[in-house]
Amino acid sequence: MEELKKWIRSRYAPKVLIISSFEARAIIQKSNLSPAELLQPFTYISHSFTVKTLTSTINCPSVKIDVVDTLECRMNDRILTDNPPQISWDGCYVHGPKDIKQFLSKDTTPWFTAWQQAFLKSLNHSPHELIDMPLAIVYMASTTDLDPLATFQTLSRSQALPQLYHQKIYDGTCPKVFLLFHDVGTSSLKNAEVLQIFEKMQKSLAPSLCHWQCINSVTEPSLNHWGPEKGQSISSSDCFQLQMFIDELLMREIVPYIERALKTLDNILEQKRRGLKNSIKSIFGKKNVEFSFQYGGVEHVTRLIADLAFLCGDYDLAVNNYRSACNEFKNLKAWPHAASASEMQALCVVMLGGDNREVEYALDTAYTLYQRAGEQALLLRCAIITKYVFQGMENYRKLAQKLMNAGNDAREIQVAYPLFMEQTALAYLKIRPAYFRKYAFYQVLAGDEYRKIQLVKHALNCYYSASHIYKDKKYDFVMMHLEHMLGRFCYYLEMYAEAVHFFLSLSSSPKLLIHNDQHQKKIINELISTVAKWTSLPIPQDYDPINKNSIPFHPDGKPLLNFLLPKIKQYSVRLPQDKVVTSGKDNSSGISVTWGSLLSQVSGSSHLTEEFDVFDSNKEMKGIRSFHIGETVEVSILTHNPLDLMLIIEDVQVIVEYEDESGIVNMTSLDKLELSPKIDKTVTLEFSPQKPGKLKIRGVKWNYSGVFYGVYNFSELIYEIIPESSSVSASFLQFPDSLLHGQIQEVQIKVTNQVINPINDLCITFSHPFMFGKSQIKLGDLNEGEEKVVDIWLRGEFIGFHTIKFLITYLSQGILRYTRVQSVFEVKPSVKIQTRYESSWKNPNENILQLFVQPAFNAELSLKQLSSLTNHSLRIIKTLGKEIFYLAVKTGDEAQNIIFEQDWLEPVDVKSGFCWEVKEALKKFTNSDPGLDLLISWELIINQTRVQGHHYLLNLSLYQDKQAIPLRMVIDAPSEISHDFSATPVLLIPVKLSLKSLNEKSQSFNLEAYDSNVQINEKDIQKPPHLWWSGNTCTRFEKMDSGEIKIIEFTALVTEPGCYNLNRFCFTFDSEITKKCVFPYQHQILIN
Amino acid sequence: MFLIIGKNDVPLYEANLGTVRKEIGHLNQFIIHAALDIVDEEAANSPNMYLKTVDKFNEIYVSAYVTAGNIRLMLVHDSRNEDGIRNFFIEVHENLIKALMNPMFDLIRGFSQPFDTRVKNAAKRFLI
Repeated sequence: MEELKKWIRSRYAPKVLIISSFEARAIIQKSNLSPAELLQPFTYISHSFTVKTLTSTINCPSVKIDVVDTLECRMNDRILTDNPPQISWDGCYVHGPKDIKQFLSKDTTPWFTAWQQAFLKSLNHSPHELIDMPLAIVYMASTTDLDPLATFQTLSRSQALPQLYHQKIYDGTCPKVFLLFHDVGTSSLKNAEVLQIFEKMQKSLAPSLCHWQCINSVTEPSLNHWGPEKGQSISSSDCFQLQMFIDELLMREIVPYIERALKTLDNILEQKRRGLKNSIKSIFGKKNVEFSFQYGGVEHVTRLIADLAFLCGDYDLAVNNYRSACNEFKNLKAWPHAASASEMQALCVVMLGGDNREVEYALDTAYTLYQRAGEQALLLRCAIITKYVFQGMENYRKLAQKLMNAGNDAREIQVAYPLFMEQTALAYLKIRPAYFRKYAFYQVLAGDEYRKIQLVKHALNCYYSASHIYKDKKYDFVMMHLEHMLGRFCYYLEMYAEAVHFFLSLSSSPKLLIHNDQHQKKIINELISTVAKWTSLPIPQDYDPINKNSIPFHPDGKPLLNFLLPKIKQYSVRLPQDKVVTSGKDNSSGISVTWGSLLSQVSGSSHLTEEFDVFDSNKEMKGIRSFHIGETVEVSILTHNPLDLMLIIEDVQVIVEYEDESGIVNMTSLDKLELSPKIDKTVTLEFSPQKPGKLKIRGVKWNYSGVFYGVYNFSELIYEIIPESSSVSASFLQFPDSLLHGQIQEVQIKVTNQVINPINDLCITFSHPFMFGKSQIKLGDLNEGEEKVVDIWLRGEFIGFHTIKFLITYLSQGILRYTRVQSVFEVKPSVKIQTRYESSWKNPNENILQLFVQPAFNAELSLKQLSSLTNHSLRIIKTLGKEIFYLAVKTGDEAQNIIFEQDWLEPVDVKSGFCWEVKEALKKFTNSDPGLDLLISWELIINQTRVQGHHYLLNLSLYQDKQAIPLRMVIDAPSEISHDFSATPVLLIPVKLSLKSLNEKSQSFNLEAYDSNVQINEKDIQKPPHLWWSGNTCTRFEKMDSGEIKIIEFTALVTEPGCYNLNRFCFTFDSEITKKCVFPYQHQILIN
Repeated sequence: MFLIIGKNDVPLYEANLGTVRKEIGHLNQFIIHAALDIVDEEAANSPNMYLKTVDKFNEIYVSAYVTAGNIRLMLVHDSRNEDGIRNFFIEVHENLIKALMNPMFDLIRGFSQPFDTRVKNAAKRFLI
């Protein structure tokens, strides 16, 4: 509150008018001062004095007098232009509540302070108020005037007074003092002559009103009261005299005048109010009388008493008179007068420490009355006073509201809206807790209005301040608006680098895509024209002060900008060793093995393991990768045009640099890339370094509209370039896209050495050994430029897609290098094979294999050869058509091939060569249980094309229920007998039983033959006719070894014709005495 | 214009519901963001989730609803319809809870199409 009172005292100080002669002004001007400026430093009276008012005696501890040269002070229209904000890109701005205290610690709007001071000054000496009425007039003349006395007389003529005196608004009877200046430095007059003039002056005017003042008498350096380059020739004694003059003026003239005037005015007031004539006039006459605010009128007198009381500090007297005057003015509908009185009434209450509500009410009344009067300038003045008062009360919430209203209400004064919106924003920031979002919004409103009145720097300051609040908050439309405006402001202010920053940011905004193509085009064009303007400067700024980074320039003078159009969705760098020659359509679903597993088969290759992990898992390699001079590196970028308009970029290049910034890189560039709206396109660029060293791939650049280069930076990519050495290129001469399952075909791989140096230990390692019968081929050495063609037989195995990988390793100048090729092909079904493999009931050492072979599609199938690949002999028992074959398979005998036709590509002996190797490779994928391995060679005729192939039936094993009965039993008996029972009533049937032990260890058991009328177990139900056994029906077998065969003979008896089951043999093993085992089948015999 | 605003004043969802007849473009976002100061202040002092009309700029009003998790639902409108706005907010709040409770909800990907449809249906029912 004290601050507020101080401001009120300084603003409403007693005023003294200076009227000076030309000569007096001229000698004062020698010190670069005006007459008012000359007196200004001495207008503060620090000693106390008393003033007797009508009601009390006021003790004034000090007073400040305001000295003015003129009563008509015009507003400087360029005050805001002359006081622009200083844009500091890294200055202190409000990002959130934490920054507010620091932000508000300084004057954030000095241009407003300057404008406000000038604006208030321009409204001083208004004709509807008397607070600025001078309380004394000082006439100044010089001894250099032709006739100083005549000059004073001329100056003091009533006609020379300002207009307000002629209008009888100001009191022309105020004290008038005459000050004669004597220029000691330049005047030729001697002191005696000057004294003579002064005495003449005193005689003619009045001795007490005349003063003599030496000036420009500096002989020694004195204390400067006026600032640099002002008042240089005013000496200390001159200053002292001036101080004395002001003191005397106050004490002898102004104070007595106030006391005198108050009494006189009070008397006038009393007379005017008490008189009968006046009373009648006040009741009947005033309504028709035109209001004139002139000296002597009741309202004028009341107002003058109030103003004089206010100036001498009697605020009680003042407030009463202001209140009274306000009411009178209201009655007379003198709205500005009433508003001014109400305004002063509020200030009186403030000075008296009264109720804030009364202050607020009085100010609101003043504001409303000014509004009613249509006085927008005075309305703004009232708002400024309100601002000070509410600031003093720390009521920022109401202050913000009032400033906002004032800005809206005073639209005729163009600068008012932005200035007051800016102040509203600051008021919001001062509320606790701070309304920082409202601050941002009102700053934007202010900025927008500044823009309209061409105060672009102010607009830029507002927008930039606000942008910090919205930053990183995903208010994309807001940020787009701010960035667009900021870009335009910077362009207007010729801050091109900054403008480019904002336009670049705008062009990368995701919400730009929501706008139509015309808007997008507009933004892009604005960016291009800004860059064009910037680069057309002789020395364009190469520093972005907002991002605080330097902007690189291409040697052709165009800048390299982080322009994100087109969008780079993805990028990849392929070194020479990353390239894979691929045959066939790439199919990710194909069965594939890792490159790492191929590398593990090559000796001395452990140092390449990490690099091969990159191929298999697409992870990034931690160490620095290397490649040789002259080798070509491919950089692929996936570009995307997110806009609704066609994007055309030119001269697309990879940015490559050696670490020591020297070295040549041969590079290819894409001349032109056209991207239709919303389209993706992959671009592959190449380069090959020509010098060893460390190489950095920084990113890609492209020329946009011939104005600038767009740059997309990659993450740090550093490579080691090593001296050149020979490498091997490999390619498939013929590789099928598809094979039938089992089909055999020859493939060829051509390897060629470059012409640099010979290579050693050339070796091809490949995946899918079960298709080739092997996994590695060693080729030895290869001279410069030499090429080799490698033939390999391939057999289709495992239906589906396969990615076969070939790793070609070699030593080039002693360094292990490699080349990778791969092929994708499909294995299709060819034939369907079903087998049934069972024990023979005829021979204990023989099994029966039922083979059912069918083509998988519409083709003619013929079997060419059946071969056993294990220690089994084969014999055809029976064939049913061309499809079903019964084979007797016997263990132990020499293997046999069953040949159906002679013309076959492989030798009949399959135990050597390709078939055998493939079988061995395939065996690794099956279990190790030994059984029959069978090779089926076939030929398919498809549309008159003959396709030949092999199928392997591996590990065919007989089903052996060793757990149930560890024996194999063969019953050898006739299946049908014709017998005449009338001739011989009993038929004897010889039954030979062969038993083979299947147990791994030797075993002992009992064999018993049961008659058919004896029930062996619960399930055994035999009906007549019955058979019986003759002779010994029980036999013991002791320690029968594994695979041992024993033959026993029995004789069965039957007495009538019928069908009998001869399998009535029951085994009881020593290990399980209680359990009787019977083979679960019937061996039937028909007897007629 | 309707906005769901989360932590650090970041909008989580935005929908143009036609509650302001005049086309005011990006001013919507400015007005809503500016009203957050008052919303925060009133939410601290009010026991209700629905804060009614919290701010006004020219002839455009801002109504707010603050959830227990301090998610702010903000609506810009140009006509007064207290009951309709309250019901709209309550329905959106229910849908918002359901959406957030979904274990598949991903804040980065934003709200799903069904949520958007429900908000627009609620706006049709209560606001337009």
